[in-house]
Amino acid sequence: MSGNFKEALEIFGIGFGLVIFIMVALAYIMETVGKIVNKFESKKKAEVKK
Amino acid sequence: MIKFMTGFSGLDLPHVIMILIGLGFIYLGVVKKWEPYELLPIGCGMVLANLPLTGIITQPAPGLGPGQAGVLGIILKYGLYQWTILPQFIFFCIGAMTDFSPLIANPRSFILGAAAQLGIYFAMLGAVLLGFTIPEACSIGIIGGADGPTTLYTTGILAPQIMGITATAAYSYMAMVAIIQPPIIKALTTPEERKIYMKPMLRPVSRTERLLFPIITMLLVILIMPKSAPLIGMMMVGNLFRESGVVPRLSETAQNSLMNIVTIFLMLGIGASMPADAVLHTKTILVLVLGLVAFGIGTAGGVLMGKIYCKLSKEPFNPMIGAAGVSAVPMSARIVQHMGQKENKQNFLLMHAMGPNVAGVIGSAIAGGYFLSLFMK
Repeated sequence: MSGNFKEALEIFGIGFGLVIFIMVALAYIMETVGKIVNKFESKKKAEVKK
Repeated sequence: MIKFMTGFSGLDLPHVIMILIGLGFIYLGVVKKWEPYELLPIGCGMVLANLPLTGIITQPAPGLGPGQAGVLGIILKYGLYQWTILPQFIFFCIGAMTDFSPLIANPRSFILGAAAQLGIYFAMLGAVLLGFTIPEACSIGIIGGADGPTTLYTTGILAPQIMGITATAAYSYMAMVAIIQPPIIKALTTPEERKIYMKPMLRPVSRTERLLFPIITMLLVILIMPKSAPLIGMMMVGNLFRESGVVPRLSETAQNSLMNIVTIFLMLGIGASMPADAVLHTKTILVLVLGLVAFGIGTAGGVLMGKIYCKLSKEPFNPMIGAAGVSAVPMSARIVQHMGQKENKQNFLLMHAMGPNVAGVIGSAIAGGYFLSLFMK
């Protein structure tokens, strides 16, 4: 296996891993943000109704 | 004695071939109306770049006298090769044009957008095996993200010598989504899977969420991957302009006038980056094939992740949606919608597919940022 290919394999592993990691983190954060914001806003709406 | 040379004296076969290809692009854009906003200016740039003795693609350099740098050379140097500002402005405009609500409503779409970046890395490996240098291989791989501006930005910095080909491949494959993706989707899914019905509407997304999205994405992505800032940062700033609602004139300018101006420079520049000596060699064919492979594997990666979702999800999930994870916005999402309707007339998958589609833009920009961080100080 040539040195270049070994380096490319490393780039593959780390690069694709990082893309997955960042996107999963974004998914988790936005899911959580969505829940918090919706909870807060429905609370606000309920208070206005009262 | 007055010295005068006509262009005919410098005309040779490679230049004639490139001029004919340029004229072919113009024909397809004007007569066949295929992607005219891209093919017409690219064709014009290509013809101008290959007319001999014009100096129109001569780039500014120390020692050149007044008027010696050509207009297309100036666009190439500052817009695409050295400063690469045009793709960054395109990202700003894309941010201002993009509604991320389908992604915010269904954040798991992020993972589909990530899976569809698989093609980038496979093509990069393939390019190294075929003898390309690693920076060239990274630039070729990024074609698989089906994201023109990211391809331009990455190639402009890592391998400007293959800019014309990678750019043409990226934009051509984006335009050919309807031909490339359906056979791959069909090969990887069963008719039953393609028929899976999903509720057409996603949950409503509040203004607060839409405002927080660009800020959170910008901070998180750039802190992890600083070199993706010129792309992700510009896109999220554009999106914040849009979603804030307080700068409608700026947002409107970014979506229309600025986008059109940058498109003119960008497409002329792509055409001008294809003088005969940079294009007419065997490497070009390899780049085109590898780009196609990258695009195909990216589509397959998204569909396979969609199949995993289909098995694990409590709600019905149509795995075709994964194919939209490549960032050809909105063409890929439309293909999924079209194929979904063909299999089940009740199915409206467009909004579900738009989530991974815009996530793909973020994913390919992250991939591009990673490649750049390997070679930029």
